[in-house]
Amino acid sequence: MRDLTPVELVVLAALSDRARYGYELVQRIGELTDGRVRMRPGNLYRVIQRLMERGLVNERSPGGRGEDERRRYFRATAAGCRVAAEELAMYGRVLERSRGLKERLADG
Amino acid sequence: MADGGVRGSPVWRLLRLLFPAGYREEWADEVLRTHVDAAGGERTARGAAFWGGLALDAMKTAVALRLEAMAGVDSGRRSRRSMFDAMSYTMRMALRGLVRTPGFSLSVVLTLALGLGANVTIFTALDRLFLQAPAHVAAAESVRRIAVYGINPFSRQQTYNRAMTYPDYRDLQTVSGFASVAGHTARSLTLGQGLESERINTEWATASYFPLLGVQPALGRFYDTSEDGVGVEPVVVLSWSFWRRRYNGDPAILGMALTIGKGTYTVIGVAPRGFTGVDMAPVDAWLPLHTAGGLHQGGDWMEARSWYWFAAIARLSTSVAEAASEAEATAVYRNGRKDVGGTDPAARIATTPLIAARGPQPSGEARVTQLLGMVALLVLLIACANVANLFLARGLQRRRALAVQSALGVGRARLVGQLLSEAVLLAAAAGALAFLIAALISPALFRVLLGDNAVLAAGTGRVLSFTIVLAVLTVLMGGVGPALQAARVDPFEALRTQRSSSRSSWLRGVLVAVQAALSVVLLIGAGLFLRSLAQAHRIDLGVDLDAIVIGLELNDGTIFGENIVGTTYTVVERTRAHPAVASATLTNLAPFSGAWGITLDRPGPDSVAVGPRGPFYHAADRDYFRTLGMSITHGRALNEADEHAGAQPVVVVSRSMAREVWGSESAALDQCLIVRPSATNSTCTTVVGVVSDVRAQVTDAEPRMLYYLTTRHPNVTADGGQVVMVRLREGAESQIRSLLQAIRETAGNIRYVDATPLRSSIDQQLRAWRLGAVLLTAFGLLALAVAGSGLYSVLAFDVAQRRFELGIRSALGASSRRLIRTVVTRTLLVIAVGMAVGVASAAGLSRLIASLLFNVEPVDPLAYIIATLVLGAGALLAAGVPAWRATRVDPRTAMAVE
Repeated sequence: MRDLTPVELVVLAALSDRARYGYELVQRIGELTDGRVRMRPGNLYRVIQRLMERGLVNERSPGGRGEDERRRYFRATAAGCRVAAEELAMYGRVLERSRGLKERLADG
Repeated sequence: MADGGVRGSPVWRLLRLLFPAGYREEWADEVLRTHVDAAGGERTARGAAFWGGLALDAMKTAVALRLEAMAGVDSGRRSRRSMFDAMSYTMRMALRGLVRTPGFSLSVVLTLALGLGANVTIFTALDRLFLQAPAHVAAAESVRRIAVYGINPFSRQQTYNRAMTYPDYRDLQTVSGFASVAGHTARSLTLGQGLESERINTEWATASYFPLLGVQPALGRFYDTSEDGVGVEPVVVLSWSFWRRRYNGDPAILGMALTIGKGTYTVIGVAPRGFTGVDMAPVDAWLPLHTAGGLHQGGDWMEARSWYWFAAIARLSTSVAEAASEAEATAVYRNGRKDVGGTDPAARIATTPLIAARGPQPSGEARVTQLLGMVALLVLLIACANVANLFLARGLQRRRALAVQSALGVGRARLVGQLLSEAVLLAAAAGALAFLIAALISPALFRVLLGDNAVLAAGTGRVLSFTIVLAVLTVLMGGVGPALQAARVDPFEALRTQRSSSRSSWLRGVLVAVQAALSVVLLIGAGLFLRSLAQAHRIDLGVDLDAIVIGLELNDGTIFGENIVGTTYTVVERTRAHPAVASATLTNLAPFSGAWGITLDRPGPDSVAVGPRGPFYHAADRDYFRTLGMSITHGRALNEADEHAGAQPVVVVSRSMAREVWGSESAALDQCLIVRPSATNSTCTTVVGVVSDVRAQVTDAEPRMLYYLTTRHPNVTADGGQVVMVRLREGAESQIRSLLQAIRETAGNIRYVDATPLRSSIDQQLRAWRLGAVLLTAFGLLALAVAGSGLYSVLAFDVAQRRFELGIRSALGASSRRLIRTVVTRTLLVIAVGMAVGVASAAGLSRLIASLLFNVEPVDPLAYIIATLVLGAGALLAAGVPAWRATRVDPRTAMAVE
């Protein structure tokens, strides 16, 4: 399994807790990244398509409470959640072990 | 479907096509829906920002997807890194290729930059005129300009008229569909005294104006209703730029007293930067409309339903549909005017867009700009054709290289990718250059288009997006075809011979013809505008435009009528005595700067209705008609005796008024006219003469009905001011300064004097044609230059390609003339075909601009002939150099190369 790109990782993270549709996803990504990552819809669906082909995300027909019949909902699969978690954990360890980076972070 | 409207839009249907088929079917609808969501739903998802963002996204995504596919990345299998590598490798290759052929690269970049630059510049103007609401207006979409739509009693045409009378405005305030109504009018007034004085642009606005627009002051406050009344303590709000310019932005300006016009106003606020009210003309100060009206208007301005002197705007109520508001306003309007003569009973109130250019009667400038937008696109098309040609030629030159690559197994997709990368790089460079060109040119264009002080507030983001979108489109138009063609190379055929295939030379011929056709269209357009301008200059307005208008402001109020002050006569006498002056006359308003209507009556059953075309009056004296070069057709002119106190009141009427009111010119003589009839006033003013007509505007189909009362006529007031009109002696133009000085010294109570040629007020009316003429000519020549360079490069390339053949011909003894003919004939034939197509298209297209032309038929032979000749000359010039070079081919070197 190849590594995830940062954008793919963020999309997976945004889809890990519950199913979301396009604009919800854009907003959630904004929340997760303090507004640093603003995804263009066209690009978003490119990424989703790629993740779906890899089995990391699947589409779910709407039916949950408050969900809109006309929208398409996406959610990270178990594999997607696992890959994302592993990747993030790996980044966490890298950060933990890079003293220079940690100090910078602490300096704020 | 929530987004049905946006989804059905043709723009979206086009944008969808950008995506590769698979992605389109699967995701395009989702992309749109997400954009609509992001914009806050279907109702708010529109406008330039929305579509611009969507278009940009679609293009970026489409490019990324295609690059992905082109780099052979099967999504998800290979890493993005390798795709990025492939892309950057292709780009580097392309860049290297371009650097190796600087001539080609430079000519493509320049040609494209000119084409793009023209478009970006015009877009900047279009953006300002058509897309941006006036600055600082909150929720501009619910603000409307109020107009009366009805039959003009004199032109007999349905028109929108924004001029409003005060009582009509008062009635409209009761309309429940209008959350708020405000009145405004622009006036030029004098600020200060004597040598310190200055003419400033004031806008009289009701207290409701600022809250209606939702604008907030930068300093201090705006006035409220209690401060906007007749006779109340006058207050003024300054514009930001005026405050900065005249008072260095000093906050201590608040509370200061300024003498403006006839009042002393206390400064209470400064408007925010860039705010110019609802119009684009610069404003220096806002005065309360009622206060200023009370001080300056005089007479029965609050009651006269024949006194059209300001415009009204409204903010629509959210609870009433716009059509219902219009209907209600119309009912109120008709009810108010049911007893007013000259009112069109079918006239209705129309709420028209705040952005004036989108309204029912856009200004000439707006329409010319719109036309220029189309013209700029034509220039871009020419540039594209030219670039396509250059690419084709380049593709031919590189056939061997491409053939080798192809033989080595490089896929076609890869080859196309490589060629397209070149196009993308060139377009990016051209786009950047175009953006710079536009940034440099647009301020100048704005001055030309919108006048000296037009506020330049272009939305840079939008202009940038527009540039990018256009550059991408250009690449698609100019680069894809040639790339596909070049990649469709047959290695065997290409390696065998150097000669171009007949198919591509045919295509290049078509591209040259297209350029010629489009250039002819533009040149003909320029010719039509030049002819219109010439025609407009030729029109006889009925007065001598060489007259000079001397604006005069006295400290003591009324100078006309029974209370006319001595100073005025002294001024006129001094002026007449000045050596530079042939004749001088005193009047209230110069021609072309408006005229006043007052109620009129004549003995008999019916009064004389005053409509938008008159009858209006001018104050005049014995030298009026002579100074303005008008001629008496019946009876006599005014004379000195008429100006004496106690003289029998007399009037001279214009021919059109005589015919309209009394049936014929001779019938008007000795008739009685009652000016401002009332219970106490039934004095007869006797018609003593009939004078030639004057047009108020160049475009007026019919002259205005005018009448001329003596300056001492008891019912004349100084409405609007006083001017001395002067006709100078031959060659005395340089003495105007000394004349003004002499007038200033006449008396201490002269507050302000200035001189403007009467012709300048006509220049304003000729602006649209002058603009069209100047800008279309510029664009026409630009197109000619681009097309000429295109033709040149095609021929130069041909000559280079055919060196071998030409060398042989020359060796066999062909004369220079014959060689030239070999090279040039076919191309000139192609151009002739192009010109014929261009002329035919122009004949069709010019009907579209017929309404912008003046007294010129859309198929004006002279314009067509001249345009054709200009293009022909350009083509010969462009063909000359390569042709000459063909005669210089040395047979030995030519054959050695092959």
